[in-house]
Amino acid sequence: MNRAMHHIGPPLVALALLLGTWELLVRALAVPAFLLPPPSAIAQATADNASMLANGLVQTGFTAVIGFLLSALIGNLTAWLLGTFRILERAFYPYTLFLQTVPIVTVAPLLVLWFGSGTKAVAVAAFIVSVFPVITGTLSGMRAVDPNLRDLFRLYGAGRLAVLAKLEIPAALPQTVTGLRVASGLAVIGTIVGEFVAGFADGKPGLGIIVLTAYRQLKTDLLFAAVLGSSVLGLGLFASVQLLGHHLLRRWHPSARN
Amino acid sequence: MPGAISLRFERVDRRFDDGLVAIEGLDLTIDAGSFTVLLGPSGCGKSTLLRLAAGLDEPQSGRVVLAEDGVDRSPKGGPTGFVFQEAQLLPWRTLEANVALPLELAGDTTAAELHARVDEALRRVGLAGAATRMPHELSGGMKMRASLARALVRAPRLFLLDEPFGALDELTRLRLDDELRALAKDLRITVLFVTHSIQEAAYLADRVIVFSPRPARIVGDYASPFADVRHADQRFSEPFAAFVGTLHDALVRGGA
Repeated sequence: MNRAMHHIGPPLVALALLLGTWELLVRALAVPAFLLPPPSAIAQATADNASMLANGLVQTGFTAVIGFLLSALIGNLTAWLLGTFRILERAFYPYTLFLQTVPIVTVAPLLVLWFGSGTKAVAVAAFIVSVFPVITGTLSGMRAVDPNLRDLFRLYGAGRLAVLAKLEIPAALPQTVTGLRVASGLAVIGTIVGEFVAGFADGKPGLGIIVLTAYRQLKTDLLFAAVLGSSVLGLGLFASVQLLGHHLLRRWHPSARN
Repeated sequence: MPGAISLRFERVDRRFDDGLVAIEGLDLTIDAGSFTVLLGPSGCGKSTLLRLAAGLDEPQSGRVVLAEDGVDRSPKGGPTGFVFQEAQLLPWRTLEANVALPLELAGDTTAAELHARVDEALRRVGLAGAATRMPHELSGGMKMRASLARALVRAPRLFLLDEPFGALDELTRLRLDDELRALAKDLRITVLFVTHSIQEAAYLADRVIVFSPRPARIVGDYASPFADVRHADQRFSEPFAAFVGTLHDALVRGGA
């Protein structure tokens, strides 16, 4: 109990101070609510729109998780292929940079053309935004394998597949986890941005749609509530990946051993 | 039990792409069942020589031959165990899983046989009680023992060691020297052991070959003054000191 308070006490006090100051200043200076609503109004808007926000959270969360899983799967498969065949890496790696640099807002209309508005296009947007760190993470981990260990596997007659499965993939795991951690945050961002452009279908508005609608109606308190929802979502996904990584590395890697 | 294996270098040249000459015109025969120490300054090309013997590297000209029961064969895929300067264990595997790796990769043992051979190898190096520990939980000496067990598990007949105990504390090193020699003699394994420590060479070897700085030339080739069995007291004897002096002089004459 005491130890828990030691950890969560200070940030809780800081939060209370911040919210209190915010509330007081907004009231004292009579700031218009459409510019900056006080925390009490945001709390009220959250309560009033609880079911819409909850549905938005589920919709956006679902899409972000799909995008993230696509990134994890396709990103790692790509890295394994590029890492195994040098010629593929030389041929294709420069183009994976495209995924890193292309502004998703410019691609999103294309996605709508190809996949139609809705979850599918948004998930692909989340995937495009989040796959690059997975590829580079795993690939750089594979590259960093100790040459002596490669020699050892060669000495014991290991084939390419055995080297991949028993040496490169496990050795790269710490970097893979780092890549996935970055990807989890990006997947949520990609989903929200994707929803701005392609999220208007299927009658299940995600948090991105709620943000847009609230903005157009100058319901700034609701806007704040949706923003809060998306950061909770990003945190949740990040924490899940963190937990998974910790579980995978706990037995052997210094990063997970404290 | 199959006979021990011998090793021949025949006019071997090894140059690297950057023009570095590691080995030039090397002729050398290592007798079956002998414990041979290669002594030379760091970076003189001894490690290259071991890699050639393991089939991990190829000479530009000349050839490296393993002779097994009188039949010549290439070093590639030979019955060879290799131990590096670092233990080089896979940190995500337990000790027993690390030791099992060569058998796993060869894929020609049943699960029961694999278990039996891993247990036997761990017992040989005194790690029977630590089978399920992770590498990071072990001391440097224990890691090196595990590395030895991994090299032993496929019943090698040629054992190549590249300054294996260089990073260990003195007492651990002396103990492992003794154990390694006893083990090799007991299992009739031909050993090629690289070191830059004169004392270690003098104590361990049946034969010490002294190399010059790069490119590696043989500047001395000496038989040990001791009989087959070693014991720690020999390190403080008159003949040992004389042998150390001889090796030292050869190194200096070679330009080290």
